[in-house]
Amino acid sequence: MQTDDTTRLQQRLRTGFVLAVALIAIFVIWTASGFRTAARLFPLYAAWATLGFCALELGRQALQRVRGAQVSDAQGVDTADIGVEAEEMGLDGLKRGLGIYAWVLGYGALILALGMQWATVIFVPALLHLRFRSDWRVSLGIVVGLLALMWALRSFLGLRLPPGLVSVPFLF
Amino acid sequence: MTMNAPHLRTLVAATLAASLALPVAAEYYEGQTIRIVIPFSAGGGTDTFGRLIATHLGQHIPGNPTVIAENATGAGGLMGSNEFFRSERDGLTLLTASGHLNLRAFLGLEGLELDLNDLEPVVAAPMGHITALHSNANISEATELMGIEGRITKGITDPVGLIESIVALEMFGLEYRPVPGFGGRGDTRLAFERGELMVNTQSTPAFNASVVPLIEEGTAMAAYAIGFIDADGNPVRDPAAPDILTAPELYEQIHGEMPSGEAWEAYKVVANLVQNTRGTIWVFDDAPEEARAALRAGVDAMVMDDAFQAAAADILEGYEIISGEGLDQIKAELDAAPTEILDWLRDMMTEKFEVTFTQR
Amino acid sequence: MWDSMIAGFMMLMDPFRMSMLMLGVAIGILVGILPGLGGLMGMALVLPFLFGMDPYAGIAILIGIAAAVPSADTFPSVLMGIPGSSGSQATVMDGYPMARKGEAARALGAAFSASMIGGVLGALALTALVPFARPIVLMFGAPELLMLTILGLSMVGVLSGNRPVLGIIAACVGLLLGMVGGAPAAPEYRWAYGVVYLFDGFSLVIVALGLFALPEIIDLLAKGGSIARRQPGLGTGWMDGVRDTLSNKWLVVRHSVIGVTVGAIPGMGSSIIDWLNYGYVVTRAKNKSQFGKGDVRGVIAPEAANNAREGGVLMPTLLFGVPGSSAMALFLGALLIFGIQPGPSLLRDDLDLVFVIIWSLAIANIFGTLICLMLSRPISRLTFVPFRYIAPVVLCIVILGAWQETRHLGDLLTLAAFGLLGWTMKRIGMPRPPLLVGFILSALVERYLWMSYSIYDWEWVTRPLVMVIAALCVVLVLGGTVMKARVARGAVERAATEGTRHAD
Repeated sequence: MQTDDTTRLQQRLRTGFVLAVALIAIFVIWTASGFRTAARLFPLYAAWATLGFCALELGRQALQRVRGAQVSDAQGVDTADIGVEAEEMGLDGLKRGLGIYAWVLGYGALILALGMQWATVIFVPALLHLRFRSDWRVSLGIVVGLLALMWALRSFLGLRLPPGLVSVPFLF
Repeated sequence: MTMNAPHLRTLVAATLAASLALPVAAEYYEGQTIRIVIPFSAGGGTDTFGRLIATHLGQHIPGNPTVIAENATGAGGLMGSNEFFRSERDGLTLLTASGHLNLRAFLGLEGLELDLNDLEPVVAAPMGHITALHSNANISEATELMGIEGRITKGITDPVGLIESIVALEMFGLEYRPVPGFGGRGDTRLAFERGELMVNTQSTPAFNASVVPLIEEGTAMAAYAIGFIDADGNPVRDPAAPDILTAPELYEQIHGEMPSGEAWEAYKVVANLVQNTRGTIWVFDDAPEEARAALRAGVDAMVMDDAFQAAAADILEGYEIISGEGLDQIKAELDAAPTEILDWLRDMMTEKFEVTFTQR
Repeated sequence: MWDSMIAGFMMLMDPFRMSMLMLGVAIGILVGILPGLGGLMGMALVLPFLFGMDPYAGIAILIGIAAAVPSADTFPSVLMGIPGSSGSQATVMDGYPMARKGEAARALGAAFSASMIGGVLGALALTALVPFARPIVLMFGAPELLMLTILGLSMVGVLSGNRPVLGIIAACVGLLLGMVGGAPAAPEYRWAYGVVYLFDGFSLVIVALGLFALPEIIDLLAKGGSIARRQPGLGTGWMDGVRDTLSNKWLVVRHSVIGVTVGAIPGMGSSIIDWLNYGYVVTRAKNKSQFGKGDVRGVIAPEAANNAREGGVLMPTLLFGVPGSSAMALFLGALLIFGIQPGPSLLRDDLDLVFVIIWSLAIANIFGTLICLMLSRPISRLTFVPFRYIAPVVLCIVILGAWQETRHLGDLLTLAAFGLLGWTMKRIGMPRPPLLVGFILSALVERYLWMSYSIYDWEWVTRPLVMVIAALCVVLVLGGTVMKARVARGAVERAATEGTRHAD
């Protein structure tokens, strides 16, 4: 079961998300007024509806807070989405996840800078060593395997690999 | 994958060239790869034309370069053509544009960088268009066109992509009701079959395959072909549908005289620009002289080749490839289009469909 | 008709054509397994080789690809929670939790056997409906299509569990995101600010990969361990999955029929089919408690439907020359290369060819799913490998897949942005499926709304079929609400009993 802290954090984050959506809806209403009629009406209606539902949800949350009722949230939100474990819903879990996301962004930046091949050569061992302290033979194997895969996809499926801003020559 | 064969052929060609003392042009493309950018999705009319050329052109260009076709889709041809326009002007990158993309570039559409003044056509193929009426128009002859009652609904995809059919309606002065939101001409044809749309213009091959059966069962009738315009400004029948009156001929039957005025001038410009180019392959006109000469020589040799002619007959559906002097005519027509008519077209598009243009 | 059926079969039995069909199946399985690549990619790959090929062989290879992709794309959906292509998004919802329970082989077995039956039923339906398809398709004008998209939107209630408002808000976000780029009814690029990359809006493939793939990779890496949290117990093999399918045979038939029907309606967008089916199976089920946690019916329904769909989308493609999906648009182009003009005349003049297509579809489906079944045992072992070794490979393939969309820097940025959005939503309990449904339907709703109004003014509301579908929407929404009330009541009771236990 979740602790009270986690529940409170989750509720705050959800409130934040709904507020952000409401802000986007306001932005849509704000900017859509400059569009041609046939491009304007649908965004306007959709954005007003969004705003309405956001208000409804925020109202519900506020009411819940006033009542101090936490019972209904004890089971967590049971949506038809892949479930998350309680321990990952806490602050530590979030931080860990964001850390990994930063790694992924780093990979993306490497790709943009050096191109797919070099980025993979650098990223995979870096991730496996610095983050997971794996055996270097495993990371070498994965890098070689990935390069072989990329080569095959390029040669036989006609896939193209993202080139980098700096073009450093590679094996293929 | 086939590394050896082209090399071998290049070698043979090179030796041949040396022994026969061909001009230096033979060497320009030797061992090179020509990339034909197709800014549309694979499988469309312009794409099949581009791929047809890509398959055959390489072996006829002196130096036997490898020719690859590459789809760079997105934003109605904008992404790919912009990519092409930013590429190196060395004759190694070509563009396959549709007639409508040419026209977009010509009129100066938002976001499009392509400037036809910088380009030279390599080869092109025409494709006509035919307008049909649904039986709910309740007329028995196309000449009763002006007497249609009720909503004359016309499906709109992207207005510039339908320009020849819109200008024809303008020329007749028909009060039609535009229905926006269609994804492509195929969608409008289906809505036409349901009777939701009353007028519908299709490319002639699509018309022959899908609308002719409707005409046979009585749910539709052919109204007019867009046709072509000869050098003297006279209408020419569509070679793939020679029995169908062209719009100006129909106008003459209805009103007893040929159309006149700005709509007619615009029609003359638009009909040829759109229809002469189901696909045009362009090269930069400041690409090296020997590159452009080699491309032209390649096209001239290709159109004489039996294998190419057989393949082209299947794909072009009743039209002939345009090469050599025909290309000069396309370029001349582009240059000859009067500015005031282009302004009229822009104004009409802006007024009716709120399309904005960026003037060059 | 029987003559043509046999003639078509004989034509296909030519060794070269059969080997082309098998090649197509192999390519289809490959691009299906790789996330982000789908039938469109596979077909585009073989297109250059079709010039000058025997038309029947060319058709066989294309149909082979089209038929195998919706089977093979189940692998990443089930094993990693990553939609393999736009057709297997909903399979993630229950297939992936099954894999995490160590039941990957069972989920795959159920998915592939359902796929096979669905695919064959799709081919059968194509055969049976060919004479009647035209009136059916013509019944759906702009107003009816509009109502169908609204029907899709009313699935949102079902897809958002016990917090419908959160789900609706997520769907609204999807609607708003779907509006970026060219407006369907006016020459206006909304919120593109002159960036040509945004003129077409966000690509569905990248949005789906961002929302589901990146969050899964991140969370699994953050947590450590392998995908399956339990070691496989006894009796979790793929044969169990096949048995699951057989014991749910009416479910398979029902969802195959839905798949064919919705696929046959041009303009509905085939990517919504699996969500429609998932929503429907959840609505109709008596015991809903396990959906989203690994209910095998949540795998069977969308998988039966997405293979049957291929039979459906071929109908408008062949009969009207109107592609039912983007891959079919390419197929249409290929037919043009062979000098074949699709349209009503095709049925009259070239019925043999139509049967070559139908036979190819049936045979490719059978072989495709059999191959996938054979692969499912070894491949599902991957779920027991420490994920940190799989992550770099999957990440690399996902990025490559996203990059193939337009090969523009924007592809990677979009992937990263939707990855963050999806991860945030997953972590804070905002349901993601409604967002995807809203995103897919956004442009369709707007388009058909304008079309209906332009053609009929407000008269469209009174069309009979419109009213029928509207009634269906009401039933669906009410059904969803009733279900939620039941779930809520259950939760309250459980809380109450827990409360009394505490009191003791």
